[in-house]
Amino acid sequence: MNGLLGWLAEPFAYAFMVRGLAAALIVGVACPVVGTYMVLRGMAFLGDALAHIILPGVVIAFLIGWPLSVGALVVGVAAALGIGALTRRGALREDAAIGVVLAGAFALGIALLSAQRGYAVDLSHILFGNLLGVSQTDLWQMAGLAGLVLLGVFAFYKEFLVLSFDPVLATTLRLPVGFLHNLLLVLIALVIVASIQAVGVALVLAMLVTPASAASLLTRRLPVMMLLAAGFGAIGAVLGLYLAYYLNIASGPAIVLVETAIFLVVFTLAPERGVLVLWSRRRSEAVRQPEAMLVVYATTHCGDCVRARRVLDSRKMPYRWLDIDQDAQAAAYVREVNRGMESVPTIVFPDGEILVEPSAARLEAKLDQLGGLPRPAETPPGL
Amino acid sequence: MSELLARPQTHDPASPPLRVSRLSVQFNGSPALSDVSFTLPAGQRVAIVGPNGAGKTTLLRVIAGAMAPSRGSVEIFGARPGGHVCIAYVPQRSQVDWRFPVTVADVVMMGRIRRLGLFRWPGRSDWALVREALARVDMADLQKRQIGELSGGQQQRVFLAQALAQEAELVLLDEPLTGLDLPSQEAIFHLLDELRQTGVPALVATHDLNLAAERFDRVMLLNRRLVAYGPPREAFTRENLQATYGGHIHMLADAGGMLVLTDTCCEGDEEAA
Repeated sequence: MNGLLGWLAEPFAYAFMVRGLAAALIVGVACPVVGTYMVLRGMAFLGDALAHIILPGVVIAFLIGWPLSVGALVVGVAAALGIGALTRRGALREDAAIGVVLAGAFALGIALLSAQRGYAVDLSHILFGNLLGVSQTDLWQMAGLAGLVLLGVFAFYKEFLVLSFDPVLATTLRLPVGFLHNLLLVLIALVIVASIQAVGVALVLAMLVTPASAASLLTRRLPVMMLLAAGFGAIGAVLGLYLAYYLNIASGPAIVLVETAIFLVVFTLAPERGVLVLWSRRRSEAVRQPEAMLVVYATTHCGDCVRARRVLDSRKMPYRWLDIDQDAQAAAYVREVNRGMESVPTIVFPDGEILVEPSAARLEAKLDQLGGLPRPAETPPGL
Repeated sequence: MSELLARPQTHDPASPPLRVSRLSVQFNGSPALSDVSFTLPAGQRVAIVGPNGAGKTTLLRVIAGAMAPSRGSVEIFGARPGGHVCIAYVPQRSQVDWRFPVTVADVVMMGRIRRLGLFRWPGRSDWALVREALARVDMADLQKRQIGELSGGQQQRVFLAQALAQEAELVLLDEPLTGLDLPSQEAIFHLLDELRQTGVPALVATHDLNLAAERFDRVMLLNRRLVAYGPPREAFTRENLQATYGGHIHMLADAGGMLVLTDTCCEGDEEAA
């Protein structure tokens, strides 16, 4: 027992390890809370880009002796406006605009840094963090930034929720959609600045989205998802530091590896959406329905569905008819295969092929291929 | 920030709930709506009918303030829609992410957040209002469900409950009846009846001409322009229907009146932009 306690306590005999743990816990908890919105709104790429984009701001602030967060914030806001300007009037798609700004800004940061002495050390610290080099002042700064970010998420909780879930409702309720979106970007930029010292520009994305993604597989309530994500982040911080100490590996990557491992465990074992459960459910369904059947997902009010039914009936093709207005599971399935749209009819064939809103000719051709009963022969003339 | 703190605009009680004047909307240079003008009096229930691509969704989105018109104006109780929170707009379904981690009660509460105001959390009376709204659409026992676990008709009713919780003074519904079974349709009409009794007008886009004729005070025939607007008996003439639907309509006259068949369908509306 004493041995285990000693093993657990040993790393924290050093003051720099204690500061490192405090820093890791601060960003380990703050990042996933903001990251929850990034995961729900599909902003992962934008978050990664923001982390790289603020590099020149951090470097310039460092060179002229300003707080790093100010430099990062100025560049972050400028970049968000720049991306907006590039995509206005549909000149460029947003992901392309983000890519252009990301790479350009990152190159500028590296170029500025490369003119300095000790370039290689600075670069590796900025890219991958230097958790064990955190000073007392750094720690206070990180705590201040993280506190500000958590306060922002808490204060605008219901507005961010509506903006993320239903942008149309946000507009009809006259919420300032543009302001809230930019505020969220600023909060993301701030939490990234707080994290650079801990995990670096290259890995901060993992702190933001990995615990939140794991949490999203376990719950159907947003507050629970945030708490779970923060918990995973904290576990990642503590276990990651032990891993770094005893295996003698870099602390930032160690934390990210633990978080990734947590995600993989959740992804495999989650009680409702884990791959194991989905796999066994699929198997038991396969047992229940030994002979795969043609399934038509449809609604009562749809002309194409009626047409499809007519074709199937005329060929005496057996099928299961699921009304997606009555059957939530069926509706969810249709949205899954149609990228969120409830396109009907969606027809799933025994061989696994899926046709969405097929023309009668296309449907006939597919049935021919399956070897269904031939089309009713036309009566030869004159008989 | 200023928009967040602004008080909702005060109403001019002498003005109608909704006045649309010379409204035009263009998509990439081609007109989606041109020169549409009408007023909606208090307590009236109006059906918007027209073929796919007629601009029904566009019209509702512009009134809701989710889209800016190219020309013309929309006045709500005498004021531009800028500062208003009194409109409830229920779009066609399938526009939100159903996997989102919110419960039915959470979604209904979203209707109240402007009434709550900034930095305030829902209190007991707000949750009571949410429960009451859910009870009125017969969904009280499903309030703890995740939103994606509901059927299409139930999801539609959740958004109606959201409109109720919002205490809206103008209700816009886009295809709320499409694909619903009869009990769900009746539940929606029951609600619309209640709204009418409290003087709240409703503008409802629908494909069902027969329901439009039987259950609404007025109908609007729309095909990029306003073809006709008035009580069903006056607006549903052979000429107006031809002008609205062109060749996609068949009319069978009989002793009791006219039976109208259209060949338009529900999903994949091309005006979903």
